[in-house]
Amino acid sequence: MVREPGAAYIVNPTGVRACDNFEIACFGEKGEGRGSKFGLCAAPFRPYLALTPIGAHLDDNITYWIYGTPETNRTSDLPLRRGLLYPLSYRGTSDNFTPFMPESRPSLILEPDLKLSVAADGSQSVELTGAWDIRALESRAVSLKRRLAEHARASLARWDLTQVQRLDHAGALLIWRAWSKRRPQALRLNPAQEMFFANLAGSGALARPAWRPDPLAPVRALGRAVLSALGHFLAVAQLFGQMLIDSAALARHPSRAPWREISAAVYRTGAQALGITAAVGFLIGIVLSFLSSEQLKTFGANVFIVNILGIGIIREMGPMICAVLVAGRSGSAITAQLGVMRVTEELDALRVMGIPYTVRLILPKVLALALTMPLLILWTSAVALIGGAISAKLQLDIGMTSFFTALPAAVPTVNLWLGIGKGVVFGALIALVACHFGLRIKPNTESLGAGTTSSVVTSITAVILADAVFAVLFNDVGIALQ
Amino acid sequence: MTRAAPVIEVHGLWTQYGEHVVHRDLDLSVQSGEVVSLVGGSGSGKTTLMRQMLGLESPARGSVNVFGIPLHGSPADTLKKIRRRWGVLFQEGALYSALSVFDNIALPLRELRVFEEGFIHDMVMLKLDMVDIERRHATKMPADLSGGMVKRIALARALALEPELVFLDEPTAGLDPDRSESFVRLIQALHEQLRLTVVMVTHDLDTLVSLSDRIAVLAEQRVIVCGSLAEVVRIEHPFIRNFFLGERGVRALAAARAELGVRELWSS
Ligand SMILES: Nc1ncnc2c1ncn2[C@@H]1O[C@H](COP(=O)(O)OP(=O)(O)OP(=O)(O)O)[C@@H](O)[C@H]1O
Ligand SMILES: [Mg+2]
Repeated sequence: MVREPGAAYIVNPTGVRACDNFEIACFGEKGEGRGSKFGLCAAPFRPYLALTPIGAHLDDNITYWIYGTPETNRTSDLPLRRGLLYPLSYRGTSDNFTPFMPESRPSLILEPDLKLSVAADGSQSVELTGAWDIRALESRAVSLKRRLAEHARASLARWDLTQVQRLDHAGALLIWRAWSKRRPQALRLNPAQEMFFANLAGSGALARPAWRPDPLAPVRALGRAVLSALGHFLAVAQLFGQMLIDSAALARHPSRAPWREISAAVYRTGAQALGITAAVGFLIGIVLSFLSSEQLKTFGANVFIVNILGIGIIREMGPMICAVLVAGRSGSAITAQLGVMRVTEELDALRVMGIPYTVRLILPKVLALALTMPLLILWTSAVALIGGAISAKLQLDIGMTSFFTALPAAVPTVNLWLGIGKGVVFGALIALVACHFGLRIKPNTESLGAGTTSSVVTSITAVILADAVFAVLFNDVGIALQ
Repeated sequence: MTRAAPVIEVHGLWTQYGEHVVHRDLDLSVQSGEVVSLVGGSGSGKTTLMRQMLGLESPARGSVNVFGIPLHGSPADTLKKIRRRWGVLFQEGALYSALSVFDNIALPLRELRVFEEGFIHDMVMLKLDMVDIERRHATKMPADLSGGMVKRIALARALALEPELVFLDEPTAGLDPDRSESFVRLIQALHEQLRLTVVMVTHDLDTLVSLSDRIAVLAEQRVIVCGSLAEVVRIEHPFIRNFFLGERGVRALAAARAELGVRELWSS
């Protein structure tokens, strides 16, 4: 038989085969344990965790008791069902378990219980017995609380806690609350139990401000939202200004500029974004071309697909797709990075070293995004046009060569410059907004999540607003057909 | 003869991160009701050993048993029961930053899903009292607390479920001497009243001397000695010499010195 140290094995005591639910308790020199609900089978098994008394060992002299009512219908389990005790004594080898009937039941650690006892002179007292600790309460708190309350209402009774085998703060608190947080007039305690009730008596309540309904709440909320939006706008402008001021010194000493950070940021926000922008751009190009072709075919205006895709993608779609992708990809990363740096006081560490974080952290990101965004836009637009051309070939039978030779004539070059200009502005905007929200992160995990979300949402909104401004300013540039 | 089985038994433990061996064939056992302190140089693997005892790391070789149950290979149900019986104070406190002080301590109690809010409230207040935190701090967020307060609130949270076994990683680091003193007294009182078993990492000699029943010294990737203060200082080892018998050590041990005969020991 395999034996492991620290575990005790119980062999089937009296030919009972398997019962599902009964209780077992064990005693060792170091303490007691009890538990329930496990199968007892012919094969040796490991007693339930709570059973191994702390400090018990295989070589220990531990007495195991099995008692209670098993959930079983087997006839052979009848003695167990009647609640008979099966005392087991374990004496070192796993095979010599000999059942015997002891003269007296040893003091088991019992379930928490209370009962009303009436003395000879007619006086009543509530007697608490068993273990009143958190592990016993875990499953019984509700019913015990109810029964305590019943007895506490009949307030004339005396309380006797001297039979309680185990008490901790949780158990004491349950009793204390039943007493409405006052000592009952007549109370018997062990000296060791005094401490728990003394601690409880000294402990007061937490004053919480009362909640009052506020009829103006929606108005206030609206006002706060408007003010906070204004506040964010000003703060972003301020951050931009601060960055420019702090960077002015670099104009005289360009070698001190954070070139390594800039190049790292270019790589992360630009090179690493090539794949995703291309994939999305290509699909959008195909979809756009497909939908437009369907319409154009009905008017027999097939050749105009070049104009539609050219203007639409180069001037609008390319920059917008790119901005949304970059805001989600790089903007969130920037916010999270700055946020964590703020939480871990890295920003303060930079400041006390005399390194302005605007120059070291924000400038590289703004510059990098202002540089990579136009390039990404060119890239995305190109891939989207290729996608569009492929779709046009399949749908309208316009060859790739004729598509791309027609393109320069259909789309004035100024649209390309407009797209690139948008890229610079969008990139800088996204970086600034992301940095702004990163710097506002409060040192807790929730704020980090919320800040990143606001950063992405706000930068996409800002980009769309900026795009609208572009549309208004350049409404007569580059659209008219020659 | 009866041999008491330990609450924690670490046997032949190897911890390895890639090529880097932190523990090599380490043995340690902690008996019920005792306070064992882990000491060792910075980076000697004290925190890692504690994480092994908590089942947060898995051993490359060897076994860790807590309450007689192996932490690796036991069913999840059993492990859950063990976890209810211990409390942990992490080196940095590890309070949940999104929850207030009150909610941090209430969390393990609420998780049991048996106690009503009123009970939990009173329980939290009691635990705050036990660690000497004023009421008005209960609504604060962890970020707005001082380092020492974080420590004490983390202890209150560790004690929320009335554990039998408590792990403390540097409990007095970052506390002022007065608070350290009261922290030591608090642990002492809890230990006496609730028969707690305590495993503690500390660099603080005063805490070490006043609390520990046994001291386990971690060096050379294993426990070189685990015994009472008197036994430990008798071992000839550079770390022990520097730690206990350096200038600071001797000062802290001044009270115990006459009794131990340390001076004679090392001057001979
Ligand atoms: N996740 C990990 N990956 C790689 N190495 C680790 C990891 N965790 C710990 N280590 C290494 O294990 C060693 C022990 O680290 P540990 O944190 O246990 O030290 P310590 O004794 O608690 O030190 P201190 O007193 O400074 O807190 C260190 O060398 C550390 O670099
Ligand atoms: Mg450590």
